[in-house]
Amino acid sequence: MSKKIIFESSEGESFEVDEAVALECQTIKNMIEDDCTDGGIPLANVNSATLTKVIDYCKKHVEAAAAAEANAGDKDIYGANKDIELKTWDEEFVKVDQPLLFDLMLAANFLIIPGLLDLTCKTMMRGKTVLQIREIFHIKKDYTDAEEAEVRKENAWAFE
Amino acid sequence: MEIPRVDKIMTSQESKDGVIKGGYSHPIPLELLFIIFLRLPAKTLARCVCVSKLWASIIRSQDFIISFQSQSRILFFIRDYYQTRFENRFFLSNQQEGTSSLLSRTTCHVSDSRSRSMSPASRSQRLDMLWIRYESSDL
Repeated sequence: MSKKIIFESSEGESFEVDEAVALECQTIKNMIEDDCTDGGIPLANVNSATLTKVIDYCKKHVEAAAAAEANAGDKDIYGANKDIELKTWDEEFVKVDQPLLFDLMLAANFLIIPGLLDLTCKTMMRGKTVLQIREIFHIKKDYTDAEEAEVRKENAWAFE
Repeated sequence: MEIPRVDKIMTSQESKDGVIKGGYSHPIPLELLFIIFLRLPAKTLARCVCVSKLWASIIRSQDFIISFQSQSRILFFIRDYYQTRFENRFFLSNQQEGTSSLLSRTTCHVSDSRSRSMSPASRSQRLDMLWIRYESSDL
């Protein structure tokens, strides 16, 4: 029976996970190494919905890593092992609304989960138009029309 | 590389009027933008330059360029001279994306003759052009 770690979301809800899953988070890993996880880890800035997703992500990646271990134990799951299945799973995983995606990104940053941080950052921006990005981040256009035309021309290849 | 951290965490629940329209009511902290930008493919990044002057200034800042560079490995560099300009071809591999199968070809157009020298003074300018303008058969 593996050791369990208890997370507590901002709503005070408890989530019990295997230590191996918690170790996916660098922040938690440091806490475990320092032996200060008794009585649960309060995550005051991660809500339950986000935490549920984060745990799903970590579980999946722990399982995938275990499955891939036979293949030379390469850390780069996307690379050496060509784990298409995991990549597809990741793509499905981030098909969520923007606020949740944003919360996931913040949680990944806070808990230090590099893979999830990378995934959420890319998903947030990739394939979006300039207008969509402005809308998502509530950004007022501060370019004049002429300036915008110029900067778009300079970066025309990004719109092909 | 040390990853910049953000202490203040916002959540979607914080939006005051309770209206969530797939966006965030707060201005996104600059440190967070930096973190996001670092992880984007160049093509997406070039689009972000067009979003606002502030975003453009972050992406064109020397700090950012150096951090972004350090995440990528230049494997290959060919320089082709043309009549009025020369073209640098970089074969970039992003460490996070992975493998040789994900190599992207990049081409940099440099029309400024000063950039031909490798003097320290022109170095940041070179870097700027290097990726802001590069074309990429992006993944």
